[in-house]
Amino acid sequence: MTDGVGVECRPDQVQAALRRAAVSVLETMFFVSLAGETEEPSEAAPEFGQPVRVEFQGGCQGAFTIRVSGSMSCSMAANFLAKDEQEVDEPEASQVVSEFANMVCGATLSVVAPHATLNLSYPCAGTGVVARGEVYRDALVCDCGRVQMQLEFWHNE
Amino acid sequence: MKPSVLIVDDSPAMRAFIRRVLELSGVVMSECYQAADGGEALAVLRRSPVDLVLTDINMPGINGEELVKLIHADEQLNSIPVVVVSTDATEQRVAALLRLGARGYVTKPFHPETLRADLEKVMEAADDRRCRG
Amino acid sequence: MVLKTVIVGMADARVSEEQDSTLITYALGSCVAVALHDPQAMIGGMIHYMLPDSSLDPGKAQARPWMFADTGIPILLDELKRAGATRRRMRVFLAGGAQVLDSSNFFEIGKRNYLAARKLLWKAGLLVKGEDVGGTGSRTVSLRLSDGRFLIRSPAQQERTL
Ligand SMILES: [Mg+2]
Repeated sequence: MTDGVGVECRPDQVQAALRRAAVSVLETMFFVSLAGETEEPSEAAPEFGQPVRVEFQGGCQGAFTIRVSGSMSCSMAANFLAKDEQEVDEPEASQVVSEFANMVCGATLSVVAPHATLNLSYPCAGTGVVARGEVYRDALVCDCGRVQMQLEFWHNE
Repeated sequence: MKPSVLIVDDSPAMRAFIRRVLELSGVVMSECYQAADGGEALAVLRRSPVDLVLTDINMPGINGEELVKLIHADEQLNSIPVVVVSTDATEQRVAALLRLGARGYVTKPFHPETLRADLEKVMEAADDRRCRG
Repeated sequence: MVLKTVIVGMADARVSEEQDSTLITYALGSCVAVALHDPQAMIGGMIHYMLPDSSLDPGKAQARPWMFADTGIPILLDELKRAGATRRRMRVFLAGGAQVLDSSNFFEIGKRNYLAARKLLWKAGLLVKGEDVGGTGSRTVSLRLSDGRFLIRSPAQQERTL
């Protein structure tokens, strides 16, 4: 239990909730499955696309950042929008990754901070913001690419 | 009668997804309007009061919760059924929105069939109301 | 009246236009069955596939397209259409995708089989009327053309319809 932040879970529960939310969103909305391999979350991986970042405030403050590898955004967009991969353009692919970030962030927070009324920002391209506060990282190896995620809770100064 | 529908979500991709679910559910729409936030949604509603509103919660400007409140408080609009489609699955949020006047609540992520089931329920209830009214 | 049973084997699919027939497939473990029924045209179809994606074994996919979701389901949809079934009227059922110890050695193959069906159906513009998936048990499923009843039998549970 973290005082004053609205998070009502132990760190291991937050970590598990993040994983569960990501897998559930990937399976339900994008038909993407885990590949069974594991990978350590790492900061620098050039083969990943632009990070997408959602900030939240209310009962707790923080940010969620997500990156997907190479062509995965295109596969996800094709699945989500029921198109062929060749029909997906760049803006569509990035809109779909943005909504992916929004859903994973929202679903995780409603589990770990169920009594906090939160406002999530519109997902935007995140640049090299250094993570601060309590930081949770996870990496997923999927059938069509890889996902790196980072959830941070900022404490009130 | 073919219903007109308004889809409110700040994500264009999600609006496209929801629209496809409506079409595949066999809802033959006379018109399918889209809005990216509560303000745009109200502008559409003032012009053309629709038969059904589907709205996200987290949006810039007027958010979904305020939109539900404003629709409910407006005599011209308060008969329009509103279904909320949001990532926020917490009981207190769902209960609060239903109290504010939302007729249905679907949590993202969702299977298309879950939204279809909610839509069918809400549209049936709206038809009943119309017949009685 | 003699009722006709059409057996759908493993890595196989069948389409029937006979009103008094029932399509049946046995012992679905991690495999998935997709059943489709057009109640107006009285046409039914069923596939029993084993793997989600033909890229896992392109050689086999050539010889046995029904073995894979991505090669088998589109062919089944085409055949149903050719027989006179219409997408808008189609009722779709899914079953199987259990987590079982099998020889395939693919990670979570039941789950992946299920997701493959979901993806292909969403892209084809078909929503699912009912599904019974996951778990650990084996399933035998049948589709009765006369009324579209989709029946599931499994060792641990009572017979049920979707
Ligand atoms: Mg949104």
